[in-house]
Amino acid sequence: MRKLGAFLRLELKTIAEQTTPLYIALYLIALLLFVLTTQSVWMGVVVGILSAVTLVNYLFHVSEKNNMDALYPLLGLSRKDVVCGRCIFGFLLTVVVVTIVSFASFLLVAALDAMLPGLREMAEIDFSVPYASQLLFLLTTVVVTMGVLQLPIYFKMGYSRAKNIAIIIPSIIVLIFAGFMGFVMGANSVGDKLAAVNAFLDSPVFIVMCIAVLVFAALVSYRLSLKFYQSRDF
Amino acid sequence: MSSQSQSKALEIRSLRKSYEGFTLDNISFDVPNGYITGFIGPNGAGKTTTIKLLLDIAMADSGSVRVFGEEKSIYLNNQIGVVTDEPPFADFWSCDDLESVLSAFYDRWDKLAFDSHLKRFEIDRKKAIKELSRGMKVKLMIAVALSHDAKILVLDEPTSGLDPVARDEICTLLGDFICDEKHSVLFSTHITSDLEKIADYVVFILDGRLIFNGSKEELIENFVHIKGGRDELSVEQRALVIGIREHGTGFAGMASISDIEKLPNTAVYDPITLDEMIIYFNKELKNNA
Amino acid sequence: MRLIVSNRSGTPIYEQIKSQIKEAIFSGELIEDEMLPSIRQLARDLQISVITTTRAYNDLEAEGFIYSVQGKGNFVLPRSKELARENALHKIEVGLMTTIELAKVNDVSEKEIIERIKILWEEGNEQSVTV
Repeated sequence: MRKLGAFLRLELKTIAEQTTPLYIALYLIALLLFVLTTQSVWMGVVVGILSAVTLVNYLFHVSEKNNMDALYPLLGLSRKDVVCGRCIFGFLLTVVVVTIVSFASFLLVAALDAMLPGLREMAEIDFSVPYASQLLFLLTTVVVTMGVLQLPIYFKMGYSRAKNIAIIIPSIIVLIFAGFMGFVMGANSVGDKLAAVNAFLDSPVFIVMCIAVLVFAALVSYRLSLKFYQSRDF
Repeated sequence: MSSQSQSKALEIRSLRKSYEGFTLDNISFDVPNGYITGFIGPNGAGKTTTIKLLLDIAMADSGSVRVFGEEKSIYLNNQIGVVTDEPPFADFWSCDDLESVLSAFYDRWDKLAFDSHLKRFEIDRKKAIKELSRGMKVKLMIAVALSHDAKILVLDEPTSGLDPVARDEICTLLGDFICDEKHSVLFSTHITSDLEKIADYVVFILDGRLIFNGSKEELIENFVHIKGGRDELSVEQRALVIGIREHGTGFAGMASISDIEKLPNTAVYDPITLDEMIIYFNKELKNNA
Repeated sequence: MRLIVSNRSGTPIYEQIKSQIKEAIFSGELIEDEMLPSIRQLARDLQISVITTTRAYNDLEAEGFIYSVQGKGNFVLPRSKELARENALHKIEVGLMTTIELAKVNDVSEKEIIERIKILWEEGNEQSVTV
């Protein structure tokens, strides 16, 4: 895609009001506290991904409010360029956020270790809690898939109309998942059927399946986004 | 193909677009290179739609556009400078922010030119765009349009809401822009008095259809303002008067030059302005609806 | 050179430009080979269409008042005595027509008019002698 770098800079500048150094610092502090209290870095990562998704939604919001969809053609960006660029931006943003969260958490743990040895055992911040990690992986998949599936809705309807609808689908998915998680967690002691589920969760098939779902969702999302945005008038 | 050798900056052919309740039907016209083409018509006639279609901001149902003879692709938009009444920029950006974004896209961005335009318009570089007055926002867009070596300037209602001084400044600016004969202007407005002065060619649309396309002189010379007494017109003659307006002490309307010999020589004939033409054509449309 | 155009006069603008330039040439204000403002510059200054100024200059060239040099501009052709005379005669005729009409309306005879002309012509001569 031509001018990808320029477009990414443009996207970044569009959300500049929400990504000031102050906001980033405050956000990181809040996130680290969250990691501390939940004792799970991975939960922090999931929250980080949700934040990246929110930032992309915010991007749609600002660009719609300022009618920037009319600016992109003037700069020589085709509809495909915009969809492609924004998807890449979202992806890179998520990667950056996840990297920062992981890295910051590592630093947090290391700092705690250095400053207050022994505290770590107390706090038990861990990078892999055996049983729950599969569920967290599933949760991550769900969150990312949900974020990815939102995109076509935003591309089709624009922020103001999409945000109401776009909240419904993820909410349903999250509710279903929460139910499932609660069911599985509380069913540790109940019978064989659930043992099969547990076994499945432990197998590599599960991970492959999650990734497959993710990839499929991404492809569908991209194709739909292209189709919807292509026919819009600004 | 060098732009100097092309006599047509823009060739617009059979643009068509249907919206709910409004159709832009088969619009074709040229923007000749080196001149100012005025694009006139009442509000809602389809001027903004046409401009959006030609810039790919909205998608045409059918039709084609050529820029200096080349089939238009989205990438050719960087040869066109665009001025609209609302800048499509993030309103919290300053001019500095704006420049850093735009210069990455426009290969021929001219820093010095942008700076000098901002100074001339007295726009504060550090101020957020939302803090600028309406007139300054338009001037900002003009500054941008003039800073990336655009050969064609397309303006969509840039002067509505501006005071006469600002409007005059813009007209002067446009005159300067075409001075070297290698630049062209398409100037859409419903404030026709601006075009009375500086337009060379005129494209007139009404209700989504093209009514006239040619030199301004040709347009103005082909019609006259006719006024007369209530009973001065026979039935056949009445049909020749465009947009006829009848009142207690007489009638007023517009007539084509070629019809004058068929009309009474007791009537009064005056030259007509673009404004009046739009009004009469519009009235004619309503009368026939 | 003074060039003023009016939207409100009945004459088309290009005609106004033409006649004012011709006047300036006849009166000697514009001299031989003097350069005229460029077509575009003139259009800008007078705030009128480039097509109008182009037409005025094209007509003036066709009528033998100016010539154009590619890439340089438009220049005044040497004043032709015959053209100047023709121009003056035309004006004289217009003035005479006005006089004749006025005379007829007020019952002044042809003979009286010719008398007046003779007297005024002599007075004019005397004045130019004393000056």
